[in-house]
Amino acid sequence: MSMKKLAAALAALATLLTMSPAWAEIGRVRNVVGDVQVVRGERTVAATSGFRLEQGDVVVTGRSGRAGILFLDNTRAAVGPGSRVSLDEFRYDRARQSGSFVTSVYRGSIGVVSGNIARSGRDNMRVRTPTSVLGVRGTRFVVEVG
Amino acid sequence: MMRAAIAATAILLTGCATDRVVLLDNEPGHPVGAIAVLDDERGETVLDTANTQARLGASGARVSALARPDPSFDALMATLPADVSRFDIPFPVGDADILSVQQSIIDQINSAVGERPPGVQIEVAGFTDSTGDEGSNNALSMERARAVAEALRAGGISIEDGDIIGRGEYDAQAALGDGVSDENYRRVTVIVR
Repeated sequence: MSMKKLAAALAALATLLTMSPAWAEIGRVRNVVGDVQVVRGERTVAATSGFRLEQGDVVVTGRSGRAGILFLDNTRAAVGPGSRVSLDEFRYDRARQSGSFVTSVYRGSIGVVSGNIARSGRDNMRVRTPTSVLGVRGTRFVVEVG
Repeated sequence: MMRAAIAATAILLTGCATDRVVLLDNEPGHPVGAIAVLDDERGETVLDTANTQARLGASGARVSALARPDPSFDALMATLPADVSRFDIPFPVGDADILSVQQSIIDQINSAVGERPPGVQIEVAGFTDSTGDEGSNNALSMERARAVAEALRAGGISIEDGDIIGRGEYDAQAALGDGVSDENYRRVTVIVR
């Protein structure tokens, strides 16, 4: 392998390593009030402050439960009572501070202050509801379902 | 009774009539931004004024203005985590050596950690200006980040290896273009979240 090819391969590897893989942390639960659970595949865990979220996790709050989440791109989210919110996709290049972020609100409410991913390109952050897809172009908003 | 059942079924079929998105005011001094209801068939519906809402349903978005934000939004937004705390540490041109990280910065970071609930994440990100090439700037920014992380660790602050990041010249390139010497980008930013 020539030096040039080796350098290109190393650069590609570096890009891969800085992209968050599917199992990596995407953010943390910071505030918890009442009953807050995270469904990850077959498992359901009670969330506490500092709980590390991964792509694909579903955040479920009880009738008086609330959760505050801080994502790696500095997006802040509040999940209201009686909610079911899925963190479908979170791809973030932490060096370039760009990526894509897709959340689904199945029921309940979510309040958001968008961060670096929304800023990195038009509709790079999207929120799905049972009937619609929202493109987030900044900055503070609320989505209610049901 | 029958009529209520028919109405309920109609709501289920069209998607819940109460689904909505509301664009709120941004924090003071920042623009409101926008939210688009994306729809390939009908075209997108854009909210770009604070305190406007779009009712969401299978038959499309219906936009209206709110006289005032719903009081329930206050309770919801009060659950938001505090915004991240940022600390900038400047570097001389082309250099990754810091003589010392000032104790006052370490104290400020410790106090920001103490104000937050458990499970704080500390990110240490190095930046460069846009002089020099991309590869060497990536390396230099990472060296700067590591130097600061080591100093902070020596000061008792816990930082995970994965949270030490080299951001190279990307920010400087985007803001100023290539080949611009600017001290604001020769820095490490520590983020407490």
